[in-house]
Amino acid sequence: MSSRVLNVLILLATITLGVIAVRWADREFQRVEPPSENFRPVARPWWMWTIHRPYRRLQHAWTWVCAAVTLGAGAVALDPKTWKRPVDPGTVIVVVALLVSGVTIANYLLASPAIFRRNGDCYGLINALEYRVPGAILGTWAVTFGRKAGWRGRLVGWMWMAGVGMLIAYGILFG
Amino acid sequence: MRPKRRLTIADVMLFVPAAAVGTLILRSYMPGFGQQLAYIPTIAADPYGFWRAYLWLHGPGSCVIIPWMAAMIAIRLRRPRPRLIRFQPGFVACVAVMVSLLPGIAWFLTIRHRPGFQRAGAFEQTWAIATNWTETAVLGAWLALLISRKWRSEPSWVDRMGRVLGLYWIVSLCISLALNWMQALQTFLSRWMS
Repeated sequence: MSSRVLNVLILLATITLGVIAVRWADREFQRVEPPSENFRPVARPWWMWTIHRPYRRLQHAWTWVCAAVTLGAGAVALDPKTWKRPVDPGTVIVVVALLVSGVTIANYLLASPAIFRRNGDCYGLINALEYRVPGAILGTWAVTFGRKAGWRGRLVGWMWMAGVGMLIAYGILFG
Repeated sequence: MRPKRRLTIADVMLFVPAAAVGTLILRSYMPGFGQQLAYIPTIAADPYGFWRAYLWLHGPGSCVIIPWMAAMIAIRLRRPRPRLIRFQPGFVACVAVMVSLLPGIAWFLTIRHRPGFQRAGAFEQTWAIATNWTETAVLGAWLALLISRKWRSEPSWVDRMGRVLGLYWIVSLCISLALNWMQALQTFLSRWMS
């Protein structure tokens, strides 16, 4: 099979996985955090509260988009046909993100204490992933800083960091 | 050949304020930490005190380690320094930890007015938020060095000390994973035996 066909298949699998994961995450979000008219802990203009819930939904689903993209980019990066020395900084970012996500998910599913699974696996996994993977990417950037990374690495790195940005922006908007 | 980097009075003068800052952080951290220790039974049964030991290592330990890592960056940047310090694992670990503190600090600044942060002993929570992204930063940096085959350790006390401080985060992460697995195994065995 040519590498172009393989890449298209990986892309399709990534999109399918992403859609399934996001739909599941959104269902879980609706279950655990049902809409509430009274949720206004701080004084903000009324129109800001109209964007609060869509923003939370996006923030909640974002981790799963990142996880699906990491898996897809990792499948391409680990393909022996595309693997070349010296390893491109973008590939390094993808491989590190894939390793850390894999270990975190496996550890959560197989060994996490029950208290961390109270709200269901979707929430528990998000809590486990949203700090560990961006943390590892920041560490990787400390090494690859100033070297041009491939687009897959930049995509994976910035997508996870966008999740961190969303968290900080949530604090600014609705803190 | 480059001159060997020795420990000088100037290096010690950088460590002293770092230790002082670490002690200050620790003093603010400890009152809230006592409350955190009280939560252990809700996480897991801890008959041998492993979780307690881990929390001591991870919490108060990080209060002391992080200022020292900041000092190590300044020490490494002093002359004489090798040309490619960005590939030295000790230096890279310290930089990675400092970089990974930034999102935590930014997040804390946006939510610092919340009631939870106004109570006595809240600094422990603040510190936990600031170090949220730090746990895996050294792992990520060292994996990046290994994968790209750029691990250039130097046989000097500066790099060794950086590596030891970086190892703290790896060991801390491994212990947290090992404790989870130990507890899962214990639960599985107790169910199987009954």
